[in-house]
Amino acid sequence: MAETVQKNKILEVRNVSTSYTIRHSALGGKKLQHVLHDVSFDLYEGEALGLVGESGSGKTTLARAILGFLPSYEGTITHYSKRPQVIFQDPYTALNPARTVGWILEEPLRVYGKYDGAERKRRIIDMLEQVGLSEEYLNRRPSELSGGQRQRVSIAAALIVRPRFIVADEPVSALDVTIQAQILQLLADMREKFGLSYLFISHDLNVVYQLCDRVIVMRKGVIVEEGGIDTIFAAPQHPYTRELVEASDNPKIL
Amino acid sequence: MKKLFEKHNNWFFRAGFVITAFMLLMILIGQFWTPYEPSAMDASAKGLAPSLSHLFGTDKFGRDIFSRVMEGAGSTLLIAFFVVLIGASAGVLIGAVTGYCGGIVDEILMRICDGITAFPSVMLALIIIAVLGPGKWNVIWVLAILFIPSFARVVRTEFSRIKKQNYISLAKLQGVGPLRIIIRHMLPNAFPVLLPAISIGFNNAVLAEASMSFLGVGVSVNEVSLGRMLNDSQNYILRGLPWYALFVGLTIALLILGFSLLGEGLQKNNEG
Repeated sequence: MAETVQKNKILEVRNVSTSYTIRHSALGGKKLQHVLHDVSFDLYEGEALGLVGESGSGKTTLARAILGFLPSYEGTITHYSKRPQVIFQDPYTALNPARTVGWILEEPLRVYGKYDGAERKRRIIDMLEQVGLSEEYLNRRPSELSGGQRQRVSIAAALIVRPRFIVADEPVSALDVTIQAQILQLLADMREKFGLSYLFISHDLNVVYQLCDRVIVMRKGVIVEEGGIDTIFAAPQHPYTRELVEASDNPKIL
Repeated sequence: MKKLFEKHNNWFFRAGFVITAFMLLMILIGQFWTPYEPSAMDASAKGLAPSLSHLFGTDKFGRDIFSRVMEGAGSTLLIAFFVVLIGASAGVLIGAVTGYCGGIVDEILMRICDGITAFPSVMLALIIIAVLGPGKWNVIWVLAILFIPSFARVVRTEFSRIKKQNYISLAKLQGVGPLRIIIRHMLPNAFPVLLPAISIGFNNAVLAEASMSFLGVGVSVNEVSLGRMLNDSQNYILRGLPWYALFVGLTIALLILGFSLLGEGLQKNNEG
């Protein structure tokens, strides 16, 4: 992996701000509430960038903006790859409950429209095996799967269109600890296998430490610190980062 | 079919299924064979009480009531079927579009629906029939239009809930078009609320046809339907033919009971 440190940008975020107005009373008194304030960063090919902050810090809003789900924002977000794919936090709402695993995985390929039925099926089974599931899961519905299995299917659904860039929004925080470790390992393996770039959003520095090369720390919509993962852990500059590092157990033991 | 029973493993569903199946079977048979010709008058058998040869007795023209009920229930059911088919299709279409799009489209279409609901439905039906004249298809169209808002509302609520789910965001990100998202991704998730709505709608349609025909604005005089017969029979309740109204009313009640139980059974499963 070390030789892939060519600095090809895959994502460029420049001066992104969003806000909403809150009305204090019926008679007016509007106030502008910033969700993101002047956020800028780059993501390079093959890199895993952690985005850390407590809930309400604007991490998810930023992810939504990057994925194109935010109707309006200021600033620019430039993608240097085809569409990014996403892995959501809650594997219970990320998979269509009315459909089978096979259908869910086949849909993006059907829409893509370049493969015939046999080729699609081959790719689906291949992808299921890649994420540690097997052919027998094809006809199961999401309700018949455990949280960890659902997250594996979500990962397969994200990867089946062969994206270069994945946004993972707290992909393991809804899972229990042993399953967390398995899914993190899977994400690391997939990154290596497919040469993926991750924007990995989490409130948990430990989790970020296990997967990411670089970290951005956000607080109240502002980036307060940015740096290599080891630098941040060894010498956090901003008091808020220091708090986060102290709050996490020593990640190096994990 | 087996799957349906496994999924809705409750007595409401089973009882509803049995009653409905029985009624449908009788109606189906009635389309091909009835014990007597439904409109054949028999001067020697006027106003007979129920017996083995005339299960429901005969009316004052000597027509066999059982045969007439079999045929009349058929046309009532046919009306109900088309009312629900048209009403539900249009309702699903409107509900899906408004629920998915939201915004101004939602506002306009739902305010039109509110407008329709704001009128007392029987009065609206009376006015339209007064203009168009009675008849099977006029009744169907009037009722279908009146039924659209209830379906639209149910589907819209469900669609605006489903729209916020992550799997829909995911589908958009995968490049799935809006039409395909609505039909292939969202509609199957709306079925659990749509199915009971349809069975309740069926009920209301049977009742609505019966009450309209009873009021004399339903099917035309020479057509047979349950409401039409109920209208007929009211003149004889106190004149020696009480069973006429009783059996027709009972048939309506059974038909509705069957659908209600089915609807209840389908809903039970959603709750837990």
